Amino acid sequence: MATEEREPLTPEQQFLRRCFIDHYVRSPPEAPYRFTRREWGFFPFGGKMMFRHISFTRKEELDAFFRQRAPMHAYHSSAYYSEPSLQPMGEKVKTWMGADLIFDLDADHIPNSEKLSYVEQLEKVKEEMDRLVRDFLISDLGFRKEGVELFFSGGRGYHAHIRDPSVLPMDSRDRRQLVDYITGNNLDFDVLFPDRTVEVNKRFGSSKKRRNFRNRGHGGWVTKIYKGKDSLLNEMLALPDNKSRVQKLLEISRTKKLGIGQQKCSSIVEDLFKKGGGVTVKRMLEEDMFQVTSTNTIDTDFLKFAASYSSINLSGETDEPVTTDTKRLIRCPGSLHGKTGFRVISVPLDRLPSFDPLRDAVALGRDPVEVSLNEGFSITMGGEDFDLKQGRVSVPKFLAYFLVARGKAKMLPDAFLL
Amino acid sequence: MEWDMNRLSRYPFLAQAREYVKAQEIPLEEMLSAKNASVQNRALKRVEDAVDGAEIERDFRRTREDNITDLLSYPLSRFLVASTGDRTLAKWFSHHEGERARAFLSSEPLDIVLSMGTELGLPTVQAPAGAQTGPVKAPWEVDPRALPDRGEMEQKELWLPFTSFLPARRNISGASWNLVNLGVVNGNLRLNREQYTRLLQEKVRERVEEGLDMKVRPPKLESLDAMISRLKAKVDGRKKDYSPTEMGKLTITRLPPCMRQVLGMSQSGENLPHHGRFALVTFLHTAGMSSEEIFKVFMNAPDFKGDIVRYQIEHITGASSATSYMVPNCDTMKTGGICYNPDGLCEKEWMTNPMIYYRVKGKKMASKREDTAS
Ligand code: SF4
Repeated sequence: MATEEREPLTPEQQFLRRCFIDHYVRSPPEAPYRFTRREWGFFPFGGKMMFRHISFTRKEELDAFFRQRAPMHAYHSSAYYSEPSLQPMGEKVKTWMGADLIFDLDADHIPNSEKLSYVEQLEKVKEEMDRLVRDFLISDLGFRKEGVELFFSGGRGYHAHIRDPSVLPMDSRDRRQLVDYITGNNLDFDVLFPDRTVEVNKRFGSSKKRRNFRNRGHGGWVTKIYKGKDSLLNEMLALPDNKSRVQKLLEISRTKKLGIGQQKCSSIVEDLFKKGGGVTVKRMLEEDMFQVTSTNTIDTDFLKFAASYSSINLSGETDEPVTTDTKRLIRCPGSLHGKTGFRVISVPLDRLPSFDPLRDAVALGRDPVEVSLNEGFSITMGGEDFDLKQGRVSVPKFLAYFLVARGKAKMLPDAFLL
Repeated sequence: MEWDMNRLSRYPFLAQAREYVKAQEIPLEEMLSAKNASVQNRALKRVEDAVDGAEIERDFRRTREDNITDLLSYPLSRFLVASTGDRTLAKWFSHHEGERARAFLSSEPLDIVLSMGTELGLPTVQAPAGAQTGPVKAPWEVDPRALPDRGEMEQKELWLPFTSFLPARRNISGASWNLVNLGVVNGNLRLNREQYTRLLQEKVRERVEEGLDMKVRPPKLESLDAMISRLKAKVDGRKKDYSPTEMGKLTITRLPPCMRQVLGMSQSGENLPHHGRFALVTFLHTAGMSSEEIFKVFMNAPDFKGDIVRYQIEHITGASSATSYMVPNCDTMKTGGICYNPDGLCEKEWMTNPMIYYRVKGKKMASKREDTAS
């Protein structure tokens, strides 16, 4: 194992590390499934790089490591290797025995996430994760509910881990297929709804083609697009006039990055609400159709809108490299996240809606700590409301950690005397 | 299921066929003796057809002798391929055997197709509860010639767990093979008969290829030596038009890692994902290679079909179409999963296109040469 060389820690780093040591002495993370077959990686407080290619053969070694080193970030491989500490990576890969299937949703991937508060970001990602698990992993891909383990990442996201034996041998090409499926990447409407000839004009030798819309129960994205159609149309119906409907479409196009402009949005609304005298939308809903008149072809753009309703809301949010890279390190469940002090904690799917990371993932104690706050700050954490003013404040340890780790507060010069 | 000899001879890679050959207890020496000349010729033709990428012949009127010759020729042809020690030939051969199997499967009754699927590790499952069933294709989409005289059973939709589908589709490209475009319900997906047999072709290929990389020590026999060198010469013939050092204006050391990988894959006879081929063609074209030179790069591909490849190249390079295409950007390469082994240079912020890599690397190398010269 490489020795840690590092510069002397700042008082802040010392405090943070002290918090982790105190925690890990009492409760080191549980050893993950088949931990001896995994590669481990750690990022120390004050460190500049990650130490990886580490492996453990006994749980006691793992515990001792956490107690003594108290890493700022702890990771292990999703993969299993017969020789997890082998280097270089190229050699280790030859001993690859399979890998868990991991999905990582993080606030980074939400459009405009900078504009949201930490709490709002967490809430958004949580909703997405709930949909990912229910609509995609369980309903479509058929994983059992108990087979999908969810974790709050300790930072700004959630992870889903699947350890079903059938997924372990999947290579990165297979996993990319799953990522595409979930994000709706590479959807091809001409494959989903292939053209069929509906009319042949003998005289001109031409033929008229229309899409075969299959049926709602076809499965996969066909079914999703049917549902998306309903949501979209109902939402449009609820709006007072065509102008606001066009606005609505434009807004969707912007947030989902569909690239559909004003003109096309207008003609879609026109097709739907003007041309059939308003009956079009009704029939599309009641008779579950996509097209109702022969002259009205609701084109690919309408399908794009419908699909965007069902796709996991935010494009590119399933952190692709995490899922498809079968050699990647993932944050170790049960460890603490160095930037927040929160614990990477398992969240049963049914508890996800009520899960509040700022209450449920708090791991560090409540002993009061005095810090110097850069500016005023309010937050609800650990079930308590804090409305803090700039300057010297005394807060529970978990909050002190959070503030110091995020650079919002400094240690007091006399902290060492305590 | 006991299959008759006629049918069995079409699928010599199946366990039952292997059993049959084993039971004959013909030692290798005897197989290679003049007595078995017809088997040898058949074996040789199997391999040569693979090198040529020949059309699959399906003769249904056959004698018992024909069947036995076919069955015996299969292990001998494998032996010949392994004896050349040529990995590329192994790819060509297994690909061709896969195509042959599919050609025959297309006219088998469905239960035969399904039972073979089970043996090859692609057992189908019951339609999932909640899936709306019905013909996979609407009646107007079914090509009557494709399914001669088959009852409803034949148009039945087939269901496969996605976990067995994904590994089987790895080498097949095209939008209709992407999971995102398939009817997925409850862990299973819906396929029609043609799609299913295409997957079986892949499974056959895998099975045929298995063990072809083993070192064999061919016995010293004149007839055998002659066959092996005849094959080698044929293989060299297809390969020789191209060798990586003769890439004209292209400097291998300047290639970005992605292109090296894709090029390597096409060289070693691995099937390229379609967009990999597209990227490589645009790249080679922009780097100044002629269509003819690019054509030669693909001659090793196991699914090499001269006309199609030529058409694609001419289409992409704009020789036969109004547009010529640009080298895809690194972003696109990444989403396509073909940004292989990016290196330090790739991490630069301005590295947005493989072509930039090629140019920058060229400059770097030139200045290095100057450095050492001064
Ligand atoms: S970053 Fe660009 S140039 Fe480098 S390997 Fe990836 S696609 Fe190729």
